[in-house]
Amino acid sequence: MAILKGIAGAVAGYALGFAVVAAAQLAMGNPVGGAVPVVIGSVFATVGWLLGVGLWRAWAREWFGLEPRLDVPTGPGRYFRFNTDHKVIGVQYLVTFVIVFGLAGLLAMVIRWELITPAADLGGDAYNQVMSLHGILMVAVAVAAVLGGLGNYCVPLMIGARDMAFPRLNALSYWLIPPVAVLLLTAPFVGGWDSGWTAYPPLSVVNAGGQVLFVVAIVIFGLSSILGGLNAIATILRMRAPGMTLMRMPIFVWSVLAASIISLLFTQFFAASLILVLLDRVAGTTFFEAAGGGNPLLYQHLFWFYSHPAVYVMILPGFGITLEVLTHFSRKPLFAYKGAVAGFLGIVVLSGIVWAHHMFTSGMAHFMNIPFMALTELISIPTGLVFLSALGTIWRGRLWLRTPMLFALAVLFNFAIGGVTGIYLADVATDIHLQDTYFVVAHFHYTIVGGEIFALMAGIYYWYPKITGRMYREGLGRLHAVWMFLAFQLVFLPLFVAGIHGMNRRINEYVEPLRGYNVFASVAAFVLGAVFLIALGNLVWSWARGRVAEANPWRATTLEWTTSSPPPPHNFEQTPEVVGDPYPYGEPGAVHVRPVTVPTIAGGSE
Amino acid sequence: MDETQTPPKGRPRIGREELWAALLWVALTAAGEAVLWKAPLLPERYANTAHIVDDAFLVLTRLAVPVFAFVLTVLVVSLLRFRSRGEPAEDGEPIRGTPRTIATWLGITGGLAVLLIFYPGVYGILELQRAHSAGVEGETEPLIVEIEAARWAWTVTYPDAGVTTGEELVLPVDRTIRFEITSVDVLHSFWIPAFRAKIDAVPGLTTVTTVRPERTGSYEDDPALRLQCAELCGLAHSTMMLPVRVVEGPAFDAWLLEQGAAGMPTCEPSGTELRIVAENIAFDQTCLAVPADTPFTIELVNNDAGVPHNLSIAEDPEWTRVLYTGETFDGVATRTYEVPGLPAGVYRFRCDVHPIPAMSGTFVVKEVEGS
Ligand code: HEM
Ligand SMILES: [Cu+2]
Ligand SMILES: [Cu+2]
Repeated sequence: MAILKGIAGAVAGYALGFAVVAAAQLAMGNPVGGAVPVVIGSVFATVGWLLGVGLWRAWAREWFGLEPRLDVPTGPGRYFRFNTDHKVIGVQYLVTFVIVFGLAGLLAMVIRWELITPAADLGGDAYNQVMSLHGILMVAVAVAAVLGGLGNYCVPLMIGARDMAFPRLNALSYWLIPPVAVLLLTAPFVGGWDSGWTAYPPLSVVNAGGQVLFVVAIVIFGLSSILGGLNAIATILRMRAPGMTLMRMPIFVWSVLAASIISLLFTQFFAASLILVLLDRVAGTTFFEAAGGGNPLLYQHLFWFYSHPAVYVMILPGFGITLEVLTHFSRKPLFAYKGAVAGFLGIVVLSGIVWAHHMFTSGMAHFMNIPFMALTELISIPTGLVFLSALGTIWRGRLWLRTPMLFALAVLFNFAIGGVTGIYLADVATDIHLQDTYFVVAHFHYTIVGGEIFALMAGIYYWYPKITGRMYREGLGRLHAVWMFLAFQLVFLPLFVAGIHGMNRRINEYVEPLRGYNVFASVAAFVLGAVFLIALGNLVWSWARGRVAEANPWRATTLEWTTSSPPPPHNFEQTPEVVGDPYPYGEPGAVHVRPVTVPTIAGGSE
Repeated sequence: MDETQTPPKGRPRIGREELWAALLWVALTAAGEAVLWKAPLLPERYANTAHIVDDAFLVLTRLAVPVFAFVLTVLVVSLLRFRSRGEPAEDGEPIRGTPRTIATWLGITGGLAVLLIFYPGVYGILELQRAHSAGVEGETEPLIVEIEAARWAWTVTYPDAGVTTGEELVLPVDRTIRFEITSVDVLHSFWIPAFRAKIDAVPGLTTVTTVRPERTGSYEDDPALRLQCAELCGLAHSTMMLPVRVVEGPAFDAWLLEQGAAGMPTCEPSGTELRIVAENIAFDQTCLAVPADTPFTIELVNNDAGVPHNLSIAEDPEWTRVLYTGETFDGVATRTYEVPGLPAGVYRFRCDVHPIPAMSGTFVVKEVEGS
């Protein structure tokens, strides 16, 4: 129902926005049409959508002196409306992004299908559009699935809070996402856009109209990220249960905090750079047009000023999940906990001052090469601390190889490759050759997919019983882990070699000697794609029919496992009291939370 | 912080697993380095810049092997030795790591990072800079080649010869070439994989990269010899490509001539007996031509009384690769030089005593039909 109202609101908003601009255009004697009414229409449509879907009922009424209506239904209906429960929002994020991941994955299959032969099977323009859409959808998944999904669901539970600090803002962050998806997916109908997820001008100023929708979508998505980041930071700093000092927080919470700081501080630069592109397109400004006194390199600085830190928005929570799972499934305290925290914070600081390593071949001034190379290579130090923590944790542990653990171990392997190959791209001499080749493509898939997406899988299986109250099928889960691990290597290892041997990226035709690598990678990609069908079947079927899960199937020590699966609406029957380290494995008598006492009728003994 | 976080007493002990791990790590590292010794990891190198880039690549790979081997070792040994069958009945030892462990680790990783920054990092940058400028000093002038990118084609201009082409990029071997690159529309990127040279073509900006090709070859033999656009530029980005051909200096000049190089005299061979007159410190011809691979004679008539002249033939304008030097003699007199056959190409001739424009010219050696 709420969704239908939202759609109605969106249509009305679009009509209103379009009409206002069209009227202004008429009044000024200009021809009606072009990009401006579409932009304003999309913005109005987003507002209309938000109001219809529940913002009006639950929040905006208040602004006009009316009583907000905060009643929410129970049952599946609660997922389909503006709902402020962080657990509902977490599930909304997860399900949405699983769908987006599936779509973008299908596009990846199209890309790999095109690249089986050196010749063009798909037109150049169609290919570029498919590649661009795959890229940006996957970037959205990578930025928001872990933070918005697992972060939302688990952080309040893990710190003993009843909800996020700003529940209505939280719901707003989520409901901004569907317009983003709709805008990106309608772009192909107005010519799409062919400039990749990076949208470098001048190309992005002169290409087809879909680029405008991309810009609007990213600005809205950025708003959602900023609000989400703000909310997570406030929650973690202000909403912790008694006794939950910062240094007693589970490591995943730390990683969410670190990533949220980056989202909050940097996202606006992406939005700003795209708004400048929009102005160049529709308002005749020349920020990036050399002939008009602008400079195309300016965009790259602005863009990477956000987009480099953004890769840490992606990977930090991935590290968090990985360490979290490794420690519980090794049944050992997290090794060098403070070192890992220092590593996260060191990454946050360094992430903001390395952006120009993406620009060694851009034609920027040469004197910037050495400082940006040096700063970038220093990131290996805090990253090394995360690895110390991970490897030290599994060493001499009691490794329980359930599905989440298999994924977490895979992250270590994959990220070792992703991290080491990153050095080649930070080194100026090697980057001159490798920049914009498949070496880069393989590198970032190893970090984002091999690091973060594998960690996302670990997290989904790990918290699945908590979220759904049911257990997935373990055999299928392990099959998924092993299959995905092996197929992933087969897809992306040969692509490193293809890049070294002269395969540039974002192409639909290539020279004959590169055929072998591509045929191999494509076949492996189809095998990789297939495993997600099994995984999806397992997760969907188990949600409905799986064995009912206990409160703490993993005998893990952190707070979310002390409450029922799934947790009650306000998470804990009684506010937990934290008394010690989050991972007191192997230390008899040590506990993280004071054991919940059986509630007595008259508040007496304890 | 609080009492549960204090590390257990005593130093970490070295058990069987640690020994196994050390052995495995050494073995994996050795195996990796051994593979690197011979593996054809990188494509063929055709220019000086390629050596610098590839050296850096190999250094990084050599260093990456022990790092990756370390992670792999810990994973493999843990999986083999610390795996629990079913749910673990007991917890692992609560080893949390001492400040000392962390400090040692920071020392090692920090040291590695600093090493990488200087070698191959800064070292490689300086080497490239030297390569870019060294040639420029060693020779009189680098050969300037202007590259203009437009959607979706490359235009190559040799400003000195006044030649412009969009068909292929032809370069002389062993000469420093300075590419001056720009774009007329969107961003493109100039990339020749065989040279490991890449720089963006930016509208409103001229970017420069310098290379010295070291080997002859062509796109037909090795597709890494191509000028490939490496920055997404829209519809036909994939095929925005120009074949590259590196040829000997004379063949390069011959090609320039064919393309109608301005200011360069040309002529056709008409026999194996040439005659040229030197008078008033000038030759009477600016171009000589003979059939390829056929011995020929040059009759030099010196009409300047008491003035020495000669005639010599060389491949390059710097006269470093001289093919023939005729004997010097005073006028008035006539000598006939007997010159062995030369391979096809465009060379230069001059009088070594007076290497001025009036006593220099083009020496064309050409395959002749039916000879
Ligand atoms: C099934 C697995 C996947 C395959 C086979 C695949 C394959 C590809 C290929 C072939 C490209 C084109 C590269 C280029 O020409 O530049 C690409 C681009 C990209 N992919 Fe994937 N991909 C997969 C999954 C993912 C995932 C999970 C993510 C992130 C979460 C991701 C993020 C990206 C990004 C950001 C781009 C760059 C697009 C651009 O250049 O604008 N991919 N992928
Ligand atoms: Cu970066
Ligand atoms: Cu191009």
